[in-house]
Amino acid sequence: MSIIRAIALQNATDTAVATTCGVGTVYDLGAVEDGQTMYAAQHLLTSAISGNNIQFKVYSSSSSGAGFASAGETLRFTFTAYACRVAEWGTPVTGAFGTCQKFWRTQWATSCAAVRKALIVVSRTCT
Amino acid sequence: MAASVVFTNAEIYLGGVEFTAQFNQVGLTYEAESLDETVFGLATRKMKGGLKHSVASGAGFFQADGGSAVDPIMFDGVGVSDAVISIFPDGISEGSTSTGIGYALKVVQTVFNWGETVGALLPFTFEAQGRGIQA
Repeated sequence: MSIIRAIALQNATDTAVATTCGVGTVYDLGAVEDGQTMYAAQHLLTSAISGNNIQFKVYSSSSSGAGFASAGETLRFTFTAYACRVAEWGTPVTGAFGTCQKFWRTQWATSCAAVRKALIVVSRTCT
Repeated sequence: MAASVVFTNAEIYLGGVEFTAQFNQVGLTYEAESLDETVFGLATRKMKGGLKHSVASGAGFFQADGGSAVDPIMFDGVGVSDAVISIFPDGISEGSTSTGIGYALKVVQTVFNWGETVGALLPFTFEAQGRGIQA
């Protein structure tokens, strides 16, 4: 794959994410099924004092809304925790999604109260 | 009828920096090689899809003041593999799979040019070649 058509799963480019741990909105990205590959990348657009990291993760589920966790959300991408401004590709996830994974969201954890702007994009591609 | 796009709202992210307000041109090329597998007995050329390739390019006004300016970032970025660039042609719509989507690719930045005649606003140009995004 040379390029992805990128869906913004978390757009905190203008308004930073909360300064504590949090979760993003659950979005229906359409069916992601066995044999497809999911891609994800992060842009961390503001920095913090060294050691005061922020880490994003991306989860999927076959169920939406309040049932997201109880329906068995699955961790799909774990980005590296950074204090600096940086970008990173997640390791692509291919196939073996089991039940149709339509719903996706971010989760982040911070080790300080620094304001952090970020952009998390994802895309699915038939293999 | 689908609405056409007046190109005023592009957003550009390279690494950990948003360059939106420093660019006034941006573009993306996504292409595949066309391989000729024509053999005797056929009446037409028979082409087969080959390797894909992508190129991100853009231009804007030179800035060097500050850690988020094009000069320090793009000067240091030339030749560095695996930079991440995301380009949204008409804004960002979180969670949308149609409007407000973008394109992201892993690149090596190959060009950072600047220069103009006296009295002009100093422009720069930028180009980055895709290098595949598999792990």
